[in-house]
Amino acid sequence: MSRFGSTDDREGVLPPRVARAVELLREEPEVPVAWRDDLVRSATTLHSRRPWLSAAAAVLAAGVCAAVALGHDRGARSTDGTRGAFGETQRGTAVAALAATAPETAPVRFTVEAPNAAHVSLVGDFEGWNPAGVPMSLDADGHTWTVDVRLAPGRHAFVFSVDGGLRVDPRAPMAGDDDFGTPSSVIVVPQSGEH
Amino acid sequence: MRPVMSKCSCRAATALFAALALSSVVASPMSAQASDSTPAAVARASLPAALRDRIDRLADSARAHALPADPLYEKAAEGVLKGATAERIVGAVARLSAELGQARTALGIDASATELLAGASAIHAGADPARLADLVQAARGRPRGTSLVLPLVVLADMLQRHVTPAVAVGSLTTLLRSGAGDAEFTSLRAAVESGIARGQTPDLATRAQTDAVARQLRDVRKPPAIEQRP
Repeated sequence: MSRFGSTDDREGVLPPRVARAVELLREEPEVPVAWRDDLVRSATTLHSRRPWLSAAAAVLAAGVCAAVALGHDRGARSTDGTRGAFGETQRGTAVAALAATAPETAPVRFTVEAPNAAHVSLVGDFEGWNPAGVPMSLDADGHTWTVDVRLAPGRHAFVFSVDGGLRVDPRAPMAGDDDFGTPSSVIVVPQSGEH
Repeated sequence: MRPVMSKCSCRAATALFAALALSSVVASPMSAQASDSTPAAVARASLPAALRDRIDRLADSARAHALPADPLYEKAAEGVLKGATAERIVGAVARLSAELGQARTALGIDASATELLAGASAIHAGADPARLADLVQAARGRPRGTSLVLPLVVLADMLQRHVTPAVAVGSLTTLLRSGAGDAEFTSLRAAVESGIARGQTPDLATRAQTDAVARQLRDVRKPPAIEQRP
């Protein structure tokens, strides 16, 4: 029996942002597995029963479950002693998940050599492969194009669009999943504090 | 003075706060997909309607299996950008979904969405899913919170450069066991690429550079010799 519903409830499909929130909470290694399962079950159950509540209901379940989990496990999950939203000197799982849901970003500089190009842009999964991309500007040397962007931590695939043609970054790892005959490059942005 | 709130009330308030906090950040008042400005939502919005419907079904199926759906929309948008046909895009997205599932099995339930995507990419490039579990085992001694994303990205890159899968996984496993961090994996990838460019076979370049990086790690950790005085 789940804390918020029976385990044989029909599971619905969560909207993407709720699914991501639940997933982030579920990934938190310090929440016991049973609670993680409760969290997912309760969110999906509520969503399937009350589609009109979808996001709010599912997130409510996730939040309550996380809060109860934290309440039950006081002291065991203190990470850095920072005073957090869950009181005492805890920095709670849900708070960490919240931070991850609105991820911090890191500055990243992209450069590409394209001396004779008229227009160069950066295109990648971090902006939904928008064909317009992020325009790059020509450096004073006359052949290097540069752009500074802020990216969330994680793995990002990208290409340079040079006068409409797509080009990989020769200095970056190649993506292993070229399905469309034009390879992509990959950049990994570490989590803050991760080296 | 008596406390204003009982322990139970505190817990309820805490739960309410958590719910409100999560809702304010995560939930959107109308349709999550319509008002979302995440890369995946932008990618989804860029798809032609017929293709979007087909990708929606694949994404629903992925979510039902607790797999991340965002990469599926991003893969589809990548296909559109690169001029692929709808059939090819749907095939690629379905394959990615299957590979995410294989990555989940190999990397474990605790793997992050980013690790799953990196693992799926490595599998797509030719890694044996069963061997990915070796990486997880080898990474057990790494500092807590250190992800496997970069080793998996390096693995996919090596396979793209025609390093034999067993040699590539063996290299990464060796370095993970030696305590290598992301800096060492980044160096390894660049060195392998250089070695291949200089004419070494991919496997030879990988073995040679792996040995070099492992040696450096040993040297760094070797305690300084104590000077013997007569």
